[in-house]
Amino acid sequence: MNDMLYARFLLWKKRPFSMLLWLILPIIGTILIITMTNSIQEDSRIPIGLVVEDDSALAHALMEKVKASNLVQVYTLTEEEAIYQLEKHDLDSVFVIHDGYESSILKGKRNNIISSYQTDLSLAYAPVKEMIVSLVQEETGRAKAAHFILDMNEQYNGQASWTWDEISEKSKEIQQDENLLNTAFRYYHSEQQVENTPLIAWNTWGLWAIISFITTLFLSDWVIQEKSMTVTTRFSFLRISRASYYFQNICLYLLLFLLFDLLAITLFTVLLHEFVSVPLVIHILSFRIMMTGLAFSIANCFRSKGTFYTVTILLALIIAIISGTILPIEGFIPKTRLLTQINPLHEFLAGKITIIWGVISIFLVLITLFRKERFNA
Amino acid sequence: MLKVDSLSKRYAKNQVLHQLSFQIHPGEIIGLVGENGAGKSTLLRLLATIDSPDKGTISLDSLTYGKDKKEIRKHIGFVPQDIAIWDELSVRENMHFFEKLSYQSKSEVQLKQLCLDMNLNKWDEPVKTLSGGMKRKLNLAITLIHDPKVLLLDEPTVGIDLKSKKEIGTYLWKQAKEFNRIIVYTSHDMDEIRELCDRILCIGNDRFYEELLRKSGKEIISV
Repeated sequence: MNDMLYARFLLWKKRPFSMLLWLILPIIGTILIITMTNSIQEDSRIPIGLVVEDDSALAHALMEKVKASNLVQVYTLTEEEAIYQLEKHDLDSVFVIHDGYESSILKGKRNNIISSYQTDLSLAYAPVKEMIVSLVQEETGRAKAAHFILDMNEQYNGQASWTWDEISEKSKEIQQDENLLNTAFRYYHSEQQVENTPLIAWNTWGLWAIISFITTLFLSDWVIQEKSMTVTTRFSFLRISRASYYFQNICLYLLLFLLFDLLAITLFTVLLHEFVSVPLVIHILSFRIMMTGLAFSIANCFRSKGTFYTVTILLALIIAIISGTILPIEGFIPKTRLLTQINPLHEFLAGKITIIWGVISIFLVLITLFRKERFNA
Repeated sequence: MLKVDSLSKRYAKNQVLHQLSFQIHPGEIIGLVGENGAGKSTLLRLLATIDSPDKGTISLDSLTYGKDKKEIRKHIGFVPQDIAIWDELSVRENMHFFEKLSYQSKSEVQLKQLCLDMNLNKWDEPVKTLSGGMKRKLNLAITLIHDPKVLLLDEPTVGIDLKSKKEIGTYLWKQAKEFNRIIVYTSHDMDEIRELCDRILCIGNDRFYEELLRKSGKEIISV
């Protein structure tokens, strides 16, 4: 294997830039696309000003909830600054949480606890207002319920010694557990719950898998080049057989890919805050074994590099579409069992070990190597 | 000794070789001549174990073709008509590439000497910048890395200048006489054949080559 590594390295070092480009493209491409998508989503948020006059836990909790929304980009300002920016139309609208917000909520009062400002260009004022009002109503409802329970306890001489905070916390727990504010959608005549897919469904590893599919195939063009060269006539007189030559090269490429996959895991964790786990590493390993073998077998079917590249791009497009990695296709194309099975990336994208296509890929490699060996015997 | 006995080969309806028998002793250079399609390359491929005969046997010393194919291949150096080298690598890298995968290890000094023996002195030059003659020399040098007992050459000097032809010829003659290698050589250059070969094997029904080479004083085997 060392001798083969030395021999292969001689060829690799003759095209360092293209090798490096195809190896790091899945990493760079994924990081760039994910960062750009996040940036676009960040830019498309509605800028609002939030003035927090009340220095209380409930006022701050409301501020954090508003900030956590994907709909708005919150700027915490003084009232004067906020109005100035609203006049310049830098902000779509301004909301002021008045002093005494918490005490009003605790008393169950709901009037004049929040004020708002808008201009004639405040296009998103209505939905933002609705969102903030619903958040406030959530808190006032909780406070009202707590008051009611405490009053009942007192009125009927109950033995329980609950505090207002305990009731409020319990209410939040129940809300969390029972998913009170979520709604599950189902299509007519379907038992299956429809997942709440975001408009842009690009996920880091899905995107990486699609780009890796293309680059792994591109990097396997050595098979086409070498099988058409007269240099292969020498294989019969070398220490290693042709099958062994190809097998060892597949292993070397696999190791090279895995090295860059390790780099991908590291960079995605650091830059994109992806969670690394042992199952993920196993999924990547199985995906990579499948992909390397499949790329070798596909490349071996071609004589012209141009045709191979064209087919590679077409295949990647088809797989990207049927995977739903780039575009959510549930609404357009019914996801049939056949579409799932013909997609070599499906198991990886579904967060599973690539077994079926992994076995197919190894089988194809063995057929290719065995046929070659017999042909040249 | 390389022994060929009653060798026959047919491709579809075309009988290329029929009942061919001859022996070649170590240190001998055999020239293989005949018109295009007579079966020169077929015979070389059979001797190189790349193809199998329909009938007849070939043996090298105590080894029998077919049965001991793997062992025989260790002793065969085959120089294909097309130049079988990596164009993007240098002469040095080509030699190292094939040495790493060869049956025999050789040092950088030994590899360089193999090239220098043929006046191939552009050690670090990329192959694509070399002349046709230099490429042919490298093609031959790579074949000799594992010190084969039998050297089979399919038109090794085609399309190169006279000086390079002479250099390759002299080198092959030394390989046969000094290292006792068996050399089987095809060429359409009759002067080269006359000058270099100990015996000449004329293949095919056409007697043109036989007549042409009769005056050379070399032993001619017609098959």
